[in-house]
Amino acid sequence: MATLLLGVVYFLLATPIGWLSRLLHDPLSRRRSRRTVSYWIVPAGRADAPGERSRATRITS
Amino acid sequence: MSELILGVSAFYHDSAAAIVRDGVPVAAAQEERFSRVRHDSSFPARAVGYCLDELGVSLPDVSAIAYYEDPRLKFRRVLATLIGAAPTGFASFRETIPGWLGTGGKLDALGNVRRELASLGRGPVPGIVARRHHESHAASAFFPSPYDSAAVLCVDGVGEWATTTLWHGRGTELTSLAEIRFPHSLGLLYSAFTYFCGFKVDSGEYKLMGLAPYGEPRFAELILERLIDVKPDGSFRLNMGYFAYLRGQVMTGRAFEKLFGGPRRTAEGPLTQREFDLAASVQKVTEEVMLRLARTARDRTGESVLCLAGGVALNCVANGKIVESGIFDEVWVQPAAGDAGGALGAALAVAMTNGARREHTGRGRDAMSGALLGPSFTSAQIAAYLDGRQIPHQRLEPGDLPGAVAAELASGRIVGWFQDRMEFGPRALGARSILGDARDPSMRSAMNLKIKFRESFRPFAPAVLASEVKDYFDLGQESPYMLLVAQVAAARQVPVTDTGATGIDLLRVPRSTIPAVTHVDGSARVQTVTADGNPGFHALLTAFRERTGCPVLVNTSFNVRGEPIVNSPHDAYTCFMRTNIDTLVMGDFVLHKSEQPPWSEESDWRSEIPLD
Ligand SMILES: [Fe+2]
Repeated sequence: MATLLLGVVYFLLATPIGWLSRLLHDPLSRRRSRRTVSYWIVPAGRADAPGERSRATRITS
Repeated sequence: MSELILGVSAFYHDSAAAIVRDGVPVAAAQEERFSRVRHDSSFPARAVGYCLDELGVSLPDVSAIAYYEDPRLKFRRVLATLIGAAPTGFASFRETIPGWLGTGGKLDALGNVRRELASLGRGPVPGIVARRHHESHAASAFFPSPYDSAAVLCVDGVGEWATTTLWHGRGTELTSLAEIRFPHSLGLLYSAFTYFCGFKVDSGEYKLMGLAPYGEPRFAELILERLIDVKPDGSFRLNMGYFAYLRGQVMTGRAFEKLFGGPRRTAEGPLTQREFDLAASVQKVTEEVMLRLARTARDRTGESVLCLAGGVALNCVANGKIVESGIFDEVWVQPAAGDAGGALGAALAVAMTNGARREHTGRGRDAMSGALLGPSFTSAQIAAYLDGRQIPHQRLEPGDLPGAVAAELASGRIVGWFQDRMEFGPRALGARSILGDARDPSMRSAMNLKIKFRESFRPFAPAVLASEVKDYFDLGQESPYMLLVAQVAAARQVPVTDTGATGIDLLRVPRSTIPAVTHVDGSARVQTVTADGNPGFHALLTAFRERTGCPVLVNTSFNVRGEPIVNSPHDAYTCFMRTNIDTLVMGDFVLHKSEQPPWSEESDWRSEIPLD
């Protein structure tokens, strides 16, 4: 029963959200780039998650 | 009126409690030492009880409880990871989510801490605050360090989001400068190789480090090319196509196997050249990243000293490379660099916010009391234990003890050394230690087989009088917590004859005048001992030097492999009787094995201790 409920949540909710977020941006900052100078993230206040109220030092050469 | 803060780390790995009085650590211990369950992750009820008892206080005497991470933020990371991996990670989702939700779930960690504390019956529970995981690490690295200001670097697997953080510590303030976030993690990269080489994640990493000197780093280029993109400033991202921890409960998958020539080694399978070379390769990459991070820390802060914490800061070979590089004038590593130290760090962070001062820096010493922050036992308590069980023993005058024990060690005996307060952190530092003569070529093998009951591919660690460290090791600074590796000094090395030995048999070939503590690459994991940090142990080393001319002893943890380090006289006596330790010294009491009655136990204790 619990597995069924978890399955419903996973495939009907988590999966489309995950798919959409990957389509729109890079939610876990998985992309790597040779041109990026630094992957450091400067914490802005109490930044919560990648991309949220913070900026990566994506200085491109 | 002094202010007490109680720090707690729990529910993941190695839970612990610590009490800070006016910003000074006064008591700290890991739960495993009391529960006798290695790396116990349950709520540290006994460690909390010990900390309160040590100060003779109850919960209402404590101003605040500090929890070592933010459970809500951590849950958001877990959720984002699971959603990010959908639809390929349902098994992981099904296994993970129920553990977080509902009463008693990890999401309500603060509620769980409150309930657990309330059930101790030590009075009303004060307010609980959560500090971030890396803030706890950073606070544990900087606030007890001997420096007024320093660069601070924390590197671990993962807490909430951050996996690598850079801070500037000044006075009682820590400023966050930059971070790297999950899934990109140097700790998890190392753990992935630990897993792939057949060792346990979260505890087998030190074995991989010990294996590295046997190998050639022939995969290092491949790792840098395919697995991790490291920028000149030390920041990095992993290529998640090769790792499985985003979608499953394992570290590596098929792509990783394909890259490194076949499936992972099984837990007790034979160690082959591939594992040696993989260990050497990931170690080399880790050192390179740590060196670049250290350089950035120096550039960004302008400081000349560095403080380290986080699980990767237990990689004493990498720490040694940072010291050797001269990027910083000095490096200080928190002895409980792993997550147990988070309990201490969280408490320190809250204490500093509440206005505590760091008066110890004026004395040029750290505030860790030599990491001797655990329980101690008085002579009366030890005597009561020994007399109660009619255990044969002698009691020596305290002044006679170092000379008598040094004589035992010089004659080749293995000594269980139980003194003072127990160490906080993973290393035995001369309070709960097994000691031997480092000069004896058969000592390493004897200690492994007679006490640890397993042959090991790692040498033991040396404890050396701090005043004589340069005579024996190429180490330009103190290493009080055994967290720096250095080369044995050229003058102590001996010519190596080609015996035809290969693989782990290389460890049998003597390379120095202290072979029991010298690795196959001529390195050693050094502990420097001062009269300040540990007077009793210092007196013993001094007596041993006077008798033999050698200021070095083998110092290994007082336990059987796979078991937590002993805490009480009973734990120590049990370990003494189960093993072939020749002499047990507890306080002023000396016990000889030959005088003890036969030892018998109802069950086979060896089958009850899990493989480490
Ligand atoms: Fe950590």
